[in-house]
Amino acid sequence: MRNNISRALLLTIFALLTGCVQVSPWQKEKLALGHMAFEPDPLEAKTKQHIYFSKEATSGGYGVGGGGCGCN
Amino acid sequence: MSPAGSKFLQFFLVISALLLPCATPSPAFAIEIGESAPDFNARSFQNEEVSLSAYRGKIVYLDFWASWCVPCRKTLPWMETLHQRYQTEGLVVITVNLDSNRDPALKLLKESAATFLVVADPDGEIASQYSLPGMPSSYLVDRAGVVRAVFKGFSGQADEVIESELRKELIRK
Repeated sequence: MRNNISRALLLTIFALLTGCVQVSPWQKEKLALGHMAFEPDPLEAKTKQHIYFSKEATSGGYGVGGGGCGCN
Repeated sequence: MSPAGSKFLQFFLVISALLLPCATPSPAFAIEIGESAPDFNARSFQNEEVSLSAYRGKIVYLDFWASWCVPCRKTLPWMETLHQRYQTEGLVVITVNLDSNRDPALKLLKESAATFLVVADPDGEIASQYSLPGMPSSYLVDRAGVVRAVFKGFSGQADEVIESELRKELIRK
């Protein structure tokens, strides 16, 4: 029974893989839209990074320096 | 063959059949230097019928661009300069626009005061014929319709490199 389920699962995964397509450079119009970016708003992205390095007591990463004091 | 072996073979064949469409299709061959530039017939933004073969005897700078492609935007005013500077020497600038919606492209063309030919290719048919290596891509086509140079992207000294190739081609009889 378990064997059949794993087989069915594997088949489903492979069937889904058939959806892979190669996108040509001239077909990337939708991908180039601003709201498709991971961080569409640069100001918001900067604020988030500031919060991370301040609150999480981390330093470095994202090209910013500083420790956990939250003073920079 | 043992029943287990036969089952494995059956399973393997099913998986192979399912993976077949996933195999990366062999990319169409990109147009390279020395090859004939594929001819096309398309409507321009100015609503004229444009075909590449109609410009045999002239040097054609064929450029593929779209409003959503950031480096492409930089090429527009520069291409207008090329068009103004060399049209009397036998250069024709033909640009192929790949926007699905024409409005943002028209806005950019207006901002650049562009007067060169702009061909609409919203479905990417001409782009597929050339199998563009990237955006923007441009081709220098000689008087016989043969590709003399291929340029991918537009950064750094690209403008100077392209213009120097273009000048070489213009003085070549």
